Amino acid sequence: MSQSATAVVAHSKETFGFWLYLMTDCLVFATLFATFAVLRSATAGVVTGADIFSLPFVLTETMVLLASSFAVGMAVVAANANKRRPMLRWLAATGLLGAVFLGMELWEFTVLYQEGHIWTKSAFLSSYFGLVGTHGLHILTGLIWLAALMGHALKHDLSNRAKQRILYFSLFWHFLDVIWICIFTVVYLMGVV
Amino acid sequence: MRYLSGFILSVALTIGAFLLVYAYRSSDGELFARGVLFGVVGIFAVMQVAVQAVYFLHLSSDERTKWTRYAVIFAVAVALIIIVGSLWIMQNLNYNMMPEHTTKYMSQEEGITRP
Repeated sequence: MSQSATAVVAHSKETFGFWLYLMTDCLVFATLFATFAVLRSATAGVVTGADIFSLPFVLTETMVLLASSFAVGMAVVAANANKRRPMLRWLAATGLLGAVFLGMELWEFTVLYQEGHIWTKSAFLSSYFGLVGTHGLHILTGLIWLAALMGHALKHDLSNRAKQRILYFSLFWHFLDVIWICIFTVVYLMGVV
Repeated sequence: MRYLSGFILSVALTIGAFLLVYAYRSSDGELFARGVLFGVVGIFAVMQVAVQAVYFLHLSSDERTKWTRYAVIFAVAVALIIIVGSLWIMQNLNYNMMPEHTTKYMSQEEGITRP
């Protein structure tokens, strides 16, 4: 095979490999969801979802994360069109919106902590923090990855390898938004009635 | 482009779901049953996942991405087994561990009666 043909095959195997990783991450969340679903009514006489969840707050969080998912898509479009500066701006928007989301979530957790509604108080709270906290950790890791990608893009021209990595990051970021859809539906929307 | 359409659809589905919950709460469950609410909100969630999968993650019926598709379908299948299976088993367990059932089981199957 020619150099570029092997490169195409190699990259498509690598892309498939990344998808496999994403699917295993999906299963991690599936188990956390299953745990939450089983334990959601085990509130041990302490607070229920209706007591602690604020729908306007969660709606805002959701819109912020959705916007960041859109932004990273735009970054990929710009990268594929070799437009380095627009790509950097879209990546920065993704990071900013992601940080806002994470900040909101951390604020929510802090308030719960201060009011004493923590993971040791009930199985419901345990599974809630486990599920939503893990999602938050994924967002944090993604932001660190994004910082590394942007750092590289700021100092170097846009190579094919760099575009590949930005694509993988976008897949990861979109995946986190998909998980969040399930979280806000199952945990917040269904938890508040 | 596709990302914009996907974004707008997702926003619509999200707001729709939230509005339904607000409608339910303000009508105190008179407008429609809780089960109906959960069903429709759940369907909105599935639809939004599909929208984001197609528009953002570019999942398609393209021959070249066949194996990616199979991996996703398999992962979803395993996830459903884990979630539905856990709920089923735990519901069964909770039912069988109710006091009336435990004492009846103990006397009928094991010959143990409470003193």
